[in-house]
Amino acid sequence: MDSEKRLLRSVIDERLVKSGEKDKLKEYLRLRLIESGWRDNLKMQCKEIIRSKDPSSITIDELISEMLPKARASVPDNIRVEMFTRIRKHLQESDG
Amino acid sequence: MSALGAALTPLAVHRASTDTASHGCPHLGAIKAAALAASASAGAAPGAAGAAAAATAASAAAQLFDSYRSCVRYSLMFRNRFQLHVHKKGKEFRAMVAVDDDEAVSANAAAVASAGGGSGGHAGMAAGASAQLLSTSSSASSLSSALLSTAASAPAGGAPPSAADGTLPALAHETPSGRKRKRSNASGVIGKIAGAADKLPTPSCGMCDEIMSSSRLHACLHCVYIGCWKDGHIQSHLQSQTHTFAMDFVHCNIYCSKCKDYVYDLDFERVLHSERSRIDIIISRIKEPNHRRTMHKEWTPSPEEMQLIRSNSTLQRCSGLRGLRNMGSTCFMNTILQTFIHNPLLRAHFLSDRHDRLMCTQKDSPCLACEMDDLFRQFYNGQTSPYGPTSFLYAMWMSQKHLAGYQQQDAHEFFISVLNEIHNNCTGRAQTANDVLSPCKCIIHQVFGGVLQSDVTCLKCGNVTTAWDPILDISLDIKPTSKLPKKPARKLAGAAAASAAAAQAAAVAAALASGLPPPPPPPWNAAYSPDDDPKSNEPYSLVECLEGFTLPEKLGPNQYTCASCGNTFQEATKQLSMKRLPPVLAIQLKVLSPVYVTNRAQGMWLKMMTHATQRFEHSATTSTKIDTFVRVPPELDMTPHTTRSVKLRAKLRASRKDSASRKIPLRGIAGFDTMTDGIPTYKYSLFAIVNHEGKIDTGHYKAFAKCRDQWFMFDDHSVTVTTQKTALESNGYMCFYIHDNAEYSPQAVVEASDVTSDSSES
Repeated sequence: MDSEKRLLRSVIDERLVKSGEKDKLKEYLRLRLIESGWRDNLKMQCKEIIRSKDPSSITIDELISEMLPKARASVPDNIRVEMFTRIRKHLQESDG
Repeated sequence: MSALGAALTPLAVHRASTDTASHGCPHLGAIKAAALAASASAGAAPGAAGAAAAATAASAAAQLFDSYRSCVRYSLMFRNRFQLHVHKKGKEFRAMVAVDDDEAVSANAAAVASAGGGSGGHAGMAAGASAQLLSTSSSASSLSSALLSTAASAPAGGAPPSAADGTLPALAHETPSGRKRKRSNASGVIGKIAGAADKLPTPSCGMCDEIMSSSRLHACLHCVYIGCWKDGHIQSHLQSQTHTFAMDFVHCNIYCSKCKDYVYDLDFERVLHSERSRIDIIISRIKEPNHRRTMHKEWTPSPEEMQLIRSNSTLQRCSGLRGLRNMGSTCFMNTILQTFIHNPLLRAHFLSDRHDRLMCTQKDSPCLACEMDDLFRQFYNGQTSPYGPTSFLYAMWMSQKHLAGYQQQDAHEFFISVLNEIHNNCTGRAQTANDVLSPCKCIIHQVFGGVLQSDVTCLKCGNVTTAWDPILDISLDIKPTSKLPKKPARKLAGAAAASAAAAQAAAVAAALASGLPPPPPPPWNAAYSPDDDPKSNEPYSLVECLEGFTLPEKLGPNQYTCASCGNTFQEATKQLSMKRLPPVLAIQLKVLSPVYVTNRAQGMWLKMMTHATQRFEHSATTSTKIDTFVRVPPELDMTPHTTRSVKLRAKLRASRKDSASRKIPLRGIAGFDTMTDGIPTYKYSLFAIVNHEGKIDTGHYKAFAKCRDQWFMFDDHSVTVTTQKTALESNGYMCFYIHDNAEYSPQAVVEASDVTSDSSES
């Protein structure tokens, strides 16, 4: 089951990349996230983490592992829905 | 040596030879230092053994630069492949719509023709990695072989790849004099690039076939290997092969496996910059064959100049931020001055001493350009206490009599007055304003000047009358909130569809989320109801105002007399579009004055003539403030509002009406897709907002502006750090956007400290 999901995911991903839709979606998502303040917020949190630890020793991996769950969880719900709707719409249209 | 010499700048030589360890990555520094030392010793004592050793050391560095360049090129081409691809599609596209305005069809046709058969030949291309990458990249395996052969040739041959480094195709080295002749050559190169971009393989991880996405692909800079970060494939590759450097495929950052972090190196940055501007030029050549770019001249200070700069300057922290005192209802002036101070182009102009108040010849009357110069001096002299711009105010009072007095004024009116005054005081301005398309060379028109095209179409005979108006800003109408629901039926349908889709999207979400680490599924999918539909309570946005601005407008029967068919009271439509967009786009949202709502085209001119009446209108309280919140986007794409795009859409609409049989898939075009149609893109970033709170005549102005990527709020004397979100949530009255792309054609390599670089957030 897990491998099936993985396969499905990579098929969708590939289709989005090859049609160029992924770039458009990414650009749109980027703009929406900036507008919503998500990016600012995240940047601030990152700065705080770096300040709270030793700035010279913290690595990108540590930062990512700490921020990733927070970043994912804090994406505004309406943007999430919008993105899914768009992906879905594209997949349906490109099917036909 | 030649390859290395091209790559390493004098600054880098200095740095690499002195303190390699202290700057950036020591491992990278060591390679560069070794190469330098080797080449220096080889030059001094040309012995056989020394030369061989030098060659190996030099080749190690050159190879690294080289493979970085190839990877960057591949990455950029892949990410821009749709922009490049349009070039091929362009033929049918143009044949169908028969675009006739200012386009060089012949140049285009030549380019298109060469695109057709271009991918096979590689005569015009430069040697080395780029050529191999471009000409043989028809499949994934041959790309690998191309990369491999470049990588392998250096150590095996014992010499750096011949001149591979820094040899951009001819177009980068183009000189203005030989432009005509080289254009055909350049278009041939572009054709090949477009053809190659078409066949670029999709990069994927060598271990798990992850294609570029969330997995963060990295390319090894020592061999041909692309691996994903997420599952650790690139890290394990670097470790097992004892390779040191890899490049993030999307961001082109260099990762050092010994530092266990991304490293920053000026020389690699330069390679990245030159590649970026190269692809930028190629895209603009494809989309706008006739566009002239200004040649970028890099200034490298001579040792004497260096010495003078060092000995005569003190480093100041946080300069450029200063509050402005309110000298009696002068907040309208303070906000506008803050937007000038934080305008990167004005700042560059005045700080580089292009108008020096000590040298100014205008002695008898107040010179506003001198006042601006003085203002910049006050902001950058290290003082942080609030400054009272008294002399500026006095100069303004002297030159614009109606502003004299302690009344609250309209910020936008003041803005226009200042621009006109500075223009009047500038040297090098156009004496006659007879040609709107060859603009005045003064700083104001160079920064703010655009051209608005208005096409009036007679509905009877179809005759089009075109007029061009120079503009310094755009004034946009806001529809009051009550009028907002434009298409209620469609909107409702959309909402219903969205809610239905949301349920299904939840399923997709669950499927996607299961493959990803931790985030617990948020409650949005359970608690979702149609009322929360993002579209239905979406505030009115600036983009919609702009759409309204360039929408064809029906003129009343008494407003137009057709010159062609001679009908006096003929119905006609008027269509506005941007003939030329300025580097800095100032937008006024007409929240305060519905006086000239009906005359939006001449808004600015009318306003300047009628400011007396307008103020009368204000004092008679006939005008009301519109309180509709307008969402101001941080980034703005002006492409759909350019004349070319408006025309193209009109033609497509017309052709779709009368030709039922069409072969071209129009979906992308109908929805107006700036990524894939053949029009250059005009992207802008927000850098300042002026907002107005309170009533029409008693309100207060505040400004938000971005300074070194950080937003600040300027409320007269107080300056506070704020976030972009707060700035965007304020009720904007004027907003200022700057064009993302400085349209330079780089002579050598564009410096990292480009004028606009601090305004564009990556």
